[in-house]
Amino acid sequence: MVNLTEKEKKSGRQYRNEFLPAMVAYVAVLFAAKALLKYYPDTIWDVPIAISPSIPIIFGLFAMTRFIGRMDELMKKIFTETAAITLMLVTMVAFSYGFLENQGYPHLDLIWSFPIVCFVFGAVFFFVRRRYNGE
Amino acid sequence: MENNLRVLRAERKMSQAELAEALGVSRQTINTIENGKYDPSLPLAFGMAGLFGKKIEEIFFP
Repeated sequence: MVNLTEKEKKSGRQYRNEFLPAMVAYVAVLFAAKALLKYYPDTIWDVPIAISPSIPIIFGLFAMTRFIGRMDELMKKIFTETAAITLMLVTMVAFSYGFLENQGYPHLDLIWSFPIVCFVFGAVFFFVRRRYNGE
Repeated sequence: MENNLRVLRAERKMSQAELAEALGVSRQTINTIENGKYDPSLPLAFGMAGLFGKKIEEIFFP
């Protein structure tokens, strides 16, 4: 059972209030962009439309950055260690897979980079946080 | 670093959550400091010293 202080609860609420609208906007813009490009494939606006779903993601990242900024020092340390380990793991695996691609392995689309980083971050966070579990 | 935070807190009949609230950190932070798994920053250590009316070296020691 995690006992959160009032400050943490308030910070969590603020994060949800900022992050969820960004994700809802992302889904809406993604579907709109896909529909537009399907019906107008030859438009000169294809590049801006194709990358438009990234804009709500940027707002989501701002929300995350502000959330991290409000964290207390232990949680910031846990996040920093997690980010460093995630960076090393993902870049090393990506680098190694690049060599495999040269040997004919299937090409991995860059669109997977963000979900892969999020997944690895979550897994690493679980283990790093356990190290600081003082119970 | 070793510390006697748990003793000082017990003397004042404070819970970890109450101390955390007073210092503006999470309960987990207090818990990990008490268990010697995390060394606090200097500002937090000064905050603890001020709260308990002690010098930092009276709370933390190598």
